[in-house]
Amino acid sequence: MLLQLNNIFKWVNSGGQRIFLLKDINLQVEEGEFISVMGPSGSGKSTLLNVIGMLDTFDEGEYHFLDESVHTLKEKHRANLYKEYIGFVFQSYHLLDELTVQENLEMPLLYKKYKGAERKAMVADMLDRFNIVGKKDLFPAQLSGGQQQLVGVARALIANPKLILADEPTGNLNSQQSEEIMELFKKLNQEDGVTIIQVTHSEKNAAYGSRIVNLLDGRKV
Amino acid sequence: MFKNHIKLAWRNLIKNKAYLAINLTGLAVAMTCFLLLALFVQFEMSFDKHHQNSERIFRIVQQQKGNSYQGTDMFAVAPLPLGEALLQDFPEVESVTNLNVGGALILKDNQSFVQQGLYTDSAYFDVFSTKVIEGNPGLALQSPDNILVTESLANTLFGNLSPINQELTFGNGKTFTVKALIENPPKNQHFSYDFIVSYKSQGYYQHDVGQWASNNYHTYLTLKKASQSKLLEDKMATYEKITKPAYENQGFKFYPEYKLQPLEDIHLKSNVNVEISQNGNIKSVRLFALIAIIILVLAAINYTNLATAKSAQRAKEVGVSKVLGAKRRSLIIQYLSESLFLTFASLVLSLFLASILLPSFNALLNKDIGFNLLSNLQILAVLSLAALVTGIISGLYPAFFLSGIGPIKALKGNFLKSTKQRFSLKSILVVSQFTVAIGLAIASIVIQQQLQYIQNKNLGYKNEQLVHVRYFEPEITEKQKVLKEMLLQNPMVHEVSLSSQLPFNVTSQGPITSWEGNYNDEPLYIYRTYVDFDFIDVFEMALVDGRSFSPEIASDSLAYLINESAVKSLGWNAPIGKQFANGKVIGVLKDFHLKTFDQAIEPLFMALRTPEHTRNNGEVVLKIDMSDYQNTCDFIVKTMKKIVPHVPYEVKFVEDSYMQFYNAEQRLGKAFNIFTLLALFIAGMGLFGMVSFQIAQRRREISIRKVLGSSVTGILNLLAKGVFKQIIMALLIATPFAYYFMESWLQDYVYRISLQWWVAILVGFLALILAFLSISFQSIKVARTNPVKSLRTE
Repeated sequence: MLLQLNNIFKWVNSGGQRIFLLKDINLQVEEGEFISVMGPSGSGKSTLLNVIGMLDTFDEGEYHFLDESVHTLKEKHRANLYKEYIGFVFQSYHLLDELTVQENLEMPLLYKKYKGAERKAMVADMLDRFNIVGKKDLFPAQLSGGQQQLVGVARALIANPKLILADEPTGNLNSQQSEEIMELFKKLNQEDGVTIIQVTHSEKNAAYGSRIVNLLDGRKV
Repeated sequence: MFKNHIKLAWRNLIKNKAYLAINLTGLAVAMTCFLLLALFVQFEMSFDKHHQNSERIFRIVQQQKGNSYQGTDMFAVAPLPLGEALLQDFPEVESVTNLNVGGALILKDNQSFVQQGLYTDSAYFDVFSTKVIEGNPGLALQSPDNILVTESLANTLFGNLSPINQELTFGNGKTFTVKALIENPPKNQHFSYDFIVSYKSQGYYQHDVGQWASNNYHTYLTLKKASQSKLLEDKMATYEKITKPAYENQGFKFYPEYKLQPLEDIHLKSNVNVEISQNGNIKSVRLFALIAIIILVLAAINYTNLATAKSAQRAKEVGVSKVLGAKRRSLIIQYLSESLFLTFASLVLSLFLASILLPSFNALLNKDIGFNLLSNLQILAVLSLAALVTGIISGLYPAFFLSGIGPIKALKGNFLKSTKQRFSLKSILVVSQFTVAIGLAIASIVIQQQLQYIQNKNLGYKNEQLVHVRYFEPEITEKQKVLKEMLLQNPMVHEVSLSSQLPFNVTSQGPITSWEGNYNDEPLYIYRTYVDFDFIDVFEMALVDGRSFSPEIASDSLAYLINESAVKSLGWNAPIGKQFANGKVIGVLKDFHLKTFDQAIEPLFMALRTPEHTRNNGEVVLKIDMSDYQNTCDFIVKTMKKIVPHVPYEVKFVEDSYMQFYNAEQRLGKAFNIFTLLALFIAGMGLFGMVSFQIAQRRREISIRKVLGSSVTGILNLLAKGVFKQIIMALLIATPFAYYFMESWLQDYVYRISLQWWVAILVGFLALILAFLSISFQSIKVARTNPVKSLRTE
């Protein structure tokens, strides 16, 4: 078992009322799963993903990741935990405009204190694997959306995470680019055994996954 | 990792060139200012410290209780026998030297050079450290026929040839042999010279031997230990038994008390009578040091503001870095390295700027500060420390602010929520910047007003169309009749007068005890100036009673004109015909300003000049037609040279010489103008930063307002309103402070302007215009962009 959420609640107070963003969420994820989270706008998909990614906190419940109880950890340890095991892919890529493709890929490694030579090898490997060696010195603005997301996925993968969290990874892409990215996810999941949780609106994309979690108003349905 | 920080910092900086330019200019200008002011402060503090025993060297000053002159009874002179006596009587005195400084004319190959001389004895070299290039100066000075020349003088006179054993003839006919070549005295020494001779070669020396009541020397001594000075001062009180009778013998009712003044204190802390040269002022050094720090702080505040404002655009970077596992510490390090990078880049820029500006800065302050940073480790260290502190302080807030944003918030880009705080940190910063700028602006206007007042006030005589030539040759006085005739032959010269002094610089003062009605022989301390028949006419001075001197009346050689203040002090109702000094009063002059405006008009008399008052020097004053000024000047110099050849006479405007006395004020005024401009410039930039921040914060609000139909002016209004409020607040804070300080500055003047209420209004108005300019640029840009653009990214 990779992670387990037990009775997770998250809320905000607005005008004296408690508005629930997540309500009593229970979720168990095994290693090697490919889960799609679906639901209408405002149903809590992104919030759930952020909670799983430890970027956001929750108000009640228990969260176990591997052998750690996330709900008891201090922020610093949580950060170390996700740094080690989780890679993120965003709808709007979030590549740094000031850095080249190569430098963008290198960034997570810097924060994990890999040695220079080691970093170089890992970046070269990743460039090779994603077939973007020729673009390594380009800046994000010089790439198409599909290529940027490719770099985004490569960056998420570079430090060998156990889990990839993707928040509408194809939301900004056309159908052909979307398909390529989804195929890539499928391949990663099946061949490399990477666990993936994606948030998506598209039934078609959701079909790539092994399991679908539906949310409505913060509740699992 | 570090390389990556630098890389990101660099790319971030060059990506937004306007931002980089604003920050770099602001910081570089402030650092240049800081550097120049630091050099000035260092220069002023360094006076006389190059002498090897400087902390053990003291100057004799004396207090003459009951003989107050120009506001103090302290004098920086001593009698010749005192030095010898000190050396004999007190073993703690290691060495003593007497010295005098004065100009002299050196003749060479039909050319003449006015040079500054140091008249001293061979012990000078025991007390003061002087670098010798050739010869033995101490030995050379034992003979009154020898002369020591500085490098610059040797260069002027002999070029590359060795000056040793050359002969030099002076304007008075005396000849000296050059026996030593010494280095030029450093600029940070409180007296300067081009040559050194023994005072024994001078005519006055004979009269000073053994004379305790004749104070013609500046006396310096080295003590074995600096701490012995207080004790020695007490011991010197015993000289009372010599000085008291000596002074009584001369008819003085006071006698001196000798004190010791540390050499290192002279330049900044001494302001007594008969200083060798104009000293500095510890107050202005402190003021400049304060201004240097204020300007640096203002610039640091700007960087903080701008960097925080920029954070909106860097949010993504923060978010991504955090999601990818960056620790807060590493982000802080990154933003700090960015601000440090910028400050050190500004530092380099400021070194370059300062080296360009130093000559004008020297001219402004009338200093001669050198610029050799490699050998000036002190300045280099202070400067680097200032850059480091500025970089860290100004980077700290943005660093903590940015790194503290949560990753999700940062990625969504909506962390710059406009909080409805009434006094946010940023508005306090803007208010304080404008408070400083407005305060300085008010001060500089008041200084200008007072200067205007000094220049334009009716002095009691006319300065216009008058030129004067100072002379030191007895021949001029002896042949003044001929000279006058020759000068008046030129139709451009209307009137000529010879006098001992100019009316605005009457310095000779002394007691008079003989006057009608003085039964107790009370001394009246009265200024005096010796003139000719034309003096009153040339300066168009007014008489309130009686008549002026007349060549037709023989008894006028013993007649006096006195001013109204003298009449008041003497307590006379009908002064005309009253017995005064050696003669009678024939007229009363309307009071005129005989000194600078910081001193009240005091009693004065004028008498006709006799050889006894001539003292070999004086002023030729001419009223001329200005239409052909240059030719007339040449004519005047040529005519005077017909009487004494070789002397480099110089024609000056009386008005200019008058303003010369307000040099310090004029320089202060100019310096204040510059600092005011700088402060306004920096405050303007600060506002620019502040507005960028506000716009970043309110982008969404502005867009929504536009979608709902607001015009560009409407949005401009919205942004300007808050800023205008802050400026009004700064004005309200700055005005009372500025008025208080300027009121106390004006208190130094007996004759002064009164503070005007409209100055504050004017400055406030100017600040508002400046503010409007600096915000409208950005606001209009934002107000005109398509609102959909910023709403879409929500």
